[in-house]
Amino acid sequence: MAALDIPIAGGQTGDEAHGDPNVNYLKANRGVMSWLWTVDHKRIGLLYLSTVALAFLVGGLFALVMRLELFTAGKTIVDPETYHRFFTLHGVVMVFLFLIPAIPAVLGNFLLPLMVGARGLAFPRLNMLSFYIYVTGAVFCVAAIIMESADTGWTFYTPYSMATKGCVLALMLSVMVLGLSSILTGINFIVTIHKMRAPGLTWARLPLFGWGMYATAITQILATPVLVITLGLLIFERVLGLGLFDPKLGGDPVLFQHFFWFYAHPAVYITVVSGMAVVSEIIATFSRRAVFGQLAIATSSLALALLGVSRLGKPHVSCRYE
Amino acid sequence: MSIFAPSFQLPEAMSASAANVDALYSFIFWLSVVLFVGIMVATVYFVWVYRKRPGHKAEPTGHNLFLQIGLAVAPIPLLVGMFHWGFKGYMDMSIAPAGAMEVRVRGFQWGWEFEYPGGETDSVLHVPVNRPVKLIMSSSDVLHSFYVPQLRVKRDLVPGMFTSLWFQPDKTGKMDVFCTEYCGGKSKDQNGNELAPSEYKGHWSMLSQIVVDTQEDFDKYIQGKGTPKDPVEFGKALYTQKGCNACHSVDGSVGVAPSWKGLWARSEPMLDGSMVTVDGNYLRESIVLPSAKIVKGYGSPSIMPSYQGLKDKEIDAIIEYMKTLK
Ligand code: HEC
Ligand SMILES: [Cu+2]
Repeated sequence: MAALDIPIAGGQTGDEAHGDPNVNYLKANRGVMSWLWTVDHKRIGLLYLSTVALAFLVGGLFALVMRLELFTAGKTIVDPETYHRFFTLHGVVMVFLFLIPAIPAVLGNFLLPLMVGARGLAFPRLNMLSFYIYVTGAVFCVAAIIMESADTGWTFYTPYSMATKGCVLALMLSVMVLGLSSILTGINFIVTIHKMRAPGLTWARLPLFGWGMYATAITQILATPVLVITLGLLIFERVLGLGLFDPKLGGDPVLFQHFFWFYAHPAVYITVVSGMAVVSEIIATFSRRAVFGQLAIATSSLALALLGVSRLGKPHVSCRYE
Repeated sequence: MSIFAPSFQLPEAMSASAANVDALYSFIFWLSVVLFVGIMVATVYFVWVYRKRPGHKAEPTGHNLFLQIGLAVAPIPLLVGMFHWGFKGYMDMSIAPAGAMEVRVRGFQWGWEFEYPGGETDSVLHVPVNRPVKLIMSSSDVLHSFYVPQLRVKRDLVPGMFTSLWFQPDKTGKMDVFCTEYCGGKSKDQNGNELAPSEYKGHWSMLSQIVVDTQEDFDKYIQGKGTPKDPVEFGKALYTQKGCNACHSVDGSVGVAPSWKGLWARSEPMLDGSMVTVDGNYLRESIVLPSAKIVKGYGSPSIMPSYQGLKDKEIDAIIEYMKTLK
């Protein structure tokens, strides 16, 4: 069983206070730079909290414009092109900048090490890197907002995403980069849960939030690469005309749908499994009791993640060949 | 109307298979209502009864294997049952009965074109009541989806491929056709000038209607369309116009290419050892991408040029012509 004081890569522990009981992580270091270059899991959790909250606000504003536009039939405040861009941006911002990172990257980063009794995550610098990759993805997204961005919907279905004039590339790049960030967080969580549990903290005793994060992380590292690769192919297709998905060039648009939902279907479980993990902890804490059927809930989260990944997105592709 | 009737929530049902869809919908809806109310009542009750009070201490939860297994197993028959019910309905709605009237549906940005078996076309679809209708659909640009709430049917239209759908209207009347796969839209003309809002065209305006007539009215409607261009004649003309006759015969003689005689619906060995049954999708692919599947006995890549420039309508006509070459 891993000991508590394993030195982590480069001697950094992912814990600003270095275990000193009299100093907390907020006061250990001061100054903007101490936040921007932090490898402390709690501080990174808070950094994510601020960006995720901002993304939620931005995504919400897009939704607000959409609802206002629908207030009257015909044009109320924006023209159709703008409306299409806004629901696309709403979808991308809410799904990739808010929903996916919301619980794992904020609460997971903050709480998981505490719950397994570790100083920090297994790879504190990788954690910082994954935050900055997230920020890079967000920057691409902002670029897309400023330019005439995509009007494809958040699913980027071909052939429309090949044909449309808007700047689809910035938004697709944004989603690809955000996918990478999500994969790194997943790897970090899995290694932490496997290798850094305190002595005596067996799998059966692992708190349900830990199980939820474990299931989520599995989904993130199995399904997200498919999204990243698919969008990469789509970018090649748009720039070079590869002919993978475009029927005019002999490609198959339904293939893109299968690839896309290979990610997006399990992505739903990233959200719900982490949400249910949070609820399990809250109920257990405030009723002052152990959760009934802890093991059953733990295995079911895991099963949900694995089944989710193996379903290949079939239910979302609604067409049948003659 | 009672609140328990499916039509309280859903639009009027106008097809033979709608009853099954609605029954399943109602079952799942009311099951959810019962479970939701049950769980909420139990939660509130337990929260109240076991609230924190002086003189009462929290006790350990304990463990009950049978209860746990029971709770996990109990919903399984219910879920399997719902899946079975839904899947069986889906299969019934997927396989059109023999003798259905076949209508070609072409979706495009932003409208619909329907072509009747006699070759007449229209932008709204008229069908006779109580007769099965099979739609063979394709898109000429991006993805679209054919959705008719009253019929409880919906299916995607995919460019480069045929998809199909069938229904049997059991009431005369009118219903709306929507596109339910986002397909763009614009508020400016080609020169970038802003159009009047009533001129905006897009996904939202990709609407049509299905008019269910009595058989007599339907026949009258078709007659009123005049004698259209017969697709078989059109296909026959294309056979020489497009130069297919340079390689393909229609009398069974095999030269540089397989003859079209008897081609439709036969099973044919391919170069890679697989067998195909010649249907619309195969023919379309053979014409647009000749090298995708090569007939056994011919070289790879195919010497046949790709005919990607052919319009959907022309490919359809050629296929109709091939069907007559028995
Ligand atoms: C240069 C000669 C040539 C021309 C012109 C040509 N084809 Fe072909 N076609 C072939 C050859 C060779 C094959 C068999 C190899 C293959 O499967 O591609 C073939 C195969 C086919 C098949 C599949 C036949 C089967 O037995 O499965 C179809 C359908 C077809 N052609 C349609 C057309 C149509 C329609 C046109 C005109 C628009 C056309 N071809 C023009 C040479 C030609
Ligand atoms: Cu459409």
